[in-house]
Amino acid sequence: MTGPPEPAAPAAGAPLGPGAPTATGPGALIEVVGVSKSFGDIVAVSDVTFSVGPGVTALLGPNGAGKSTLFRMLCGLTAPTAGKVRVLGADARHDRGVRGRIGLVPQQDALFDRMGGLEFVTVAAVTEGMADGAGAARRALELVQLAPDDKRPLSTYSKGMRQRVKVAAAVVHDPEVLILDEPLAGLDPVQRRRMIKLLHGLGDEGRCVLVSSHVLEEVSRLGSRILVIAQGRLVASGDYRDLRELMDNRPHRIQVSVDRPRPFAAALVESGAAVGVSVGPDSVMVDTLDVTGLSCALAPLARRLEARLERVAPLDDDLESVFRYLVERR
Amino acid sequence: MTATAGRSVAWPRALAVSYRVLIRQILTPGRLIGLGLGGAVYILIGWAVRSGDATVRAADAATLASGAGLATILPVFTLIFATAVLGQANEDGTLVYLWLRPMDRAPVVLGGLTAALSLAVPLVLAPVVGGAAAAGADAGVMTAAAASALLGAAAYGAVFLAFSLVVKRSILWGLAYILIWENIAPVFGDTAARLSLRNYTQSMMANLSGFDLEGLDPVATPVAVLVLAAVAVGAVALASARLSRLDVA
Repeated sequence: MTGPPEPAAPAAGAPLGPGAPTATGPGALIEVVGVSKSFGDIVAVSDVTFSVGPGVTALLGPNGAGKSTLFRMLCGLTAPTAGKVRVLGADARHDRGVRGRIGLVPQQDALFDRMGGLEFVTVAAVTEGMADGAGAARRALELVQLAPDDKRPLSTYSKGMRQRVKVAAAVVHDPEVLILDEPLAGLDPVQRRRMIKLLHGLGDEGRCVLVSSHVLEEVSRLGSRILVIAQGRLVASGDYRDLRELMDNRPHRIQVSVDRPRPFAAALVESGAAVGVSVGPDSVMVDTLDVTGLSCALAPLARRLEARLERVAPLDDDLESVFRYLVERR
Repeated sequence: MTATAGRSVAWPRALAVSYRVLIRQILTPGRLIGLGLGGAVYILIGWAVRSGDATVRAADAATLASGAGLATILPVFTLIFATAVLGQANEDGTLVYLWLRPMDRAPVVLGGLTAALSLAVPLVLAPVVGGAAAAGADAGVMTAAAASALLGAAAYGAVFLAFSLVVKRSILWGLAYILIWENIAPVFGDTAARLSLRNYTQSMMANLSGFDLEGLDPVATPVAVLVLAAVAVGAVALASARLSRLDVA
């Protein structure tokens, strides 16, 4: 197999373009410098460096990439094995004051299930040191479109309602930094749209809103600034549109099932439609930079070689492949 | 601990809200029914061993309260609630809602301990005192049993709460501790006995009731009280320090 050429891919965690959330300086509310985290032999986060300022920034990565571990370190819930984490200039693990300036929506579904929504959010307000906990809780619940007077226990709430209660508890004390781990999970499309609007509103007020997701379409609506994490490493950062462009411009892998794979593969390389091929017993794995050009070339080529084309299937038309590509490019 | 500018929660408020939240978390029908039934069986045993002679009855009641009551019911029932408050909260993912707050750790631990004791103490005292009464105890034996169980619950509760922040599956480890450290090891010598909490609760029981308890070389009551109180305070301090360094789920 011949290898594909090197398109313009970002270097390790390098900015994808202008507006990247890696700028350091007085505007940075979150700073992560050389942070690693291991659990025994398992490296969850490896040498990650970035900083985030006000506004909405999305942390994009597949499940198990290290997003939640990174968020837990930002909030001080677990200590990094190496490196430095600062939120609002302090370490939340050791600084009581800064903990009151952070709002966290954890990924896990656990809540104090016997409480109602109002009581749960009131507890959050009181433990955040607010004088009028119940009043603040009512306002926070209304912000996420939940009825404060709903007396039902949280155990009876739907997944979407539970997510919104968590968000209400996270914003009840008006935090400067808001960290949300997969906050859109479980929301229906209407709720999702409202939540995204709410997050944008909070970002526009000058808060630092850091949101994780493993769904590209969510990220596209969350904000243009993104951090991409895969296999515990920061593999790209910058503008969402640059990532989208990178997705389109990277080499694509397509499986072509054909009855004469060997001459077909040779002809594909000769034609320039493929930059790399791998021949199997009844198919050819094709790497191409131009999917449209390849699609147009397949049928004439099959006619010329008197081969029978059976199936053409993209193998990497998903976000996972982009993550893989970015990791491999490091 | 350093603190950047921002809100903070005063100790009494932090303790009160932690207590209120945690007691609801650990108050489950399963626990109440299970431990209530266990206590009822113990009282039945007390009734079954009741003797005809008043002096023998009181001595038997003291032995029962000291043995099965202080050595088994007290640590096991306390273990169930003390390991649940913060250890279980961390395992089920709810601890984050108390941890990531501008609050000191000690009031959270004290709130949790108070919550555990609020449930454990009545469930311990009812069978320990009730069993002694059923066995024919006089007022002195019942008072001694209640006082020993009360102070013992504070010490055991603090130890098991700290335990739950150090090890996973703390109930199993706690049961192993009760069986081996508190009940088997003391049989093999005075030094081992002195290192068990049971030695001090039973010393209080023996001294306050006026009955000699078989196999026990009691320490003076002030020493017993001091040791149990010191263990409770030390365990709370340890739990607070441990909570600060905990990996929170």
